[in-house]
Amino acid sequence: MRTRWAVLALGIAIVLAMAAPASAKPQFSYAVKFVCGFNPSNVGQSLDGEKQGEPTVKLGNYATDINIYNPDVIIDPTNPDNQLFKKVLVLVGDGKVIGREPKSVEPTGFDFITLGPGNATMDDCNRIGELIYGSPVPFPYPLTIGFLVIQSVYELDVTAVYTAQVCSAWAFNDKLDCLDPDGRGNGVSISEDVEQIEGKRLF
Amino acid sequence: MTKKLLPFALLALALPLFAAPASAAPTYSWSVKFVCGYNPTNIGQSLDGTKEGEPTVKFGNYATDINIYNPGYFDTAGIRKKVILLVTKGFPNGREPKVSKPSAFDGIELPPMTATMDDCNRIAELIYGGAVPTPMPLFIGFLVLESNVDLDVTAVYTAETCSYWVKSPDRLDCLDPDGKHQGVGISIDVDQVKGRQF
Repeated sequence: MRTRWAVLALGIAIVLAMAAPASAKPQFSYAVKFVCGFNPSNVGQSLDGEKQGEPTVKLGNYATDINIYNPDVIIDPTNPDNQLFKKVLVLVGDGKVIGREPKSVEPTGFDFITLGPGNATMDDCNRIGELIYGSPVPFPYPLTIGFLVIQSVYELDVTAVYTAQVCSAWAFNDKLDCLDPDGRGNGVSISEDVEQIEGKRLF
Repeated sequence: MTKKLLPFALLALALPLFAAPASAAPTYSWSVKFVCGYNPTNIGQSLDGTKEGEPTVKFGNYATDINIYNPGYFDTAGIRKKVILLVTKGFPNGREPKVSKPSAFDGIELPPMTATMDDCNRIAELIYGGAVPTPMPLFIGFLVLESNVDLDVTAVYTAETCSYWVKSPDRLDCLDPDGKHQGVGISIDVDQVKGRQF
């Protein structure tokens, strides 16, 4: 008798394991890379903190702007399925490399938002900073690199704007000015990259 | 006897559903380009070492940051990595008609919904097998990732130039001969790396 029940239970477990993904709502995932904050050095560091080699990104000041649009046309802004789930995985935090091989990291910040059809929202370094460091966000913002993972039952349009700026001597006043020792403005260089983020359908 | 064996048979069928991915052979591959280190010259070199023409990349200082995320809910990714060097210490060792084979290997088990990263220092640790030189000489190549599950792979490329870099113990400053700071140029490019399913 007991054997029969065991067989039945195992059979049900197998059927559930195979059928679950097909019956669940689809789940889309967008792993959006972010590069935020100020890296004051052109020399890298090892996992034990020793200064050597190359930094993860070059000396400079980085910002990321992540824009999210719900292109759905179903006019039901109260639909709970419009809720997006976000999580932050930090690989470089507070200027320190924490997720470099052979290490890996788990999500450390979480967020939700309801995004109705035809609406858009955004995350930038300050929003990510609030989730990681709390409010107010530190200034200058320490170098922070990782993934903002957005999960949704609807397919989304996700675009990221990456900007980087460099100056050979930043002045640590309230504006992070680029000044020479006599207080005169120095040359600043900027770079911009805009990327459409492709999502993955998990099931 | 048959009835007694049935639960074991079903168990044997069920186990792979939960446990297969970690031990399965790689079915996805990503060839992630990296550009790392300092190229101190705007003149190239031939395979016999003669200084001539264009360098592989312009005079400047380059960094690459490769981020890897396992988006799945259940499966741990067994990731194998190999480094193929095409420019080594500034020398274009893989330029036509030469070819390069993988010269360093690495691997990691990445649980679901976790992330890891490789940057120039990690790649250099694999190449040098220890401490990384400062400034890091120019290295260009592929970090090839192979995994049993689909991953999100993103690379950040930054490049910087200065007409005169000065090496101090812990910095590479951009100074003129009088010690005054000079203008520096920067560039950033972020790429989602597309994988290939075998």
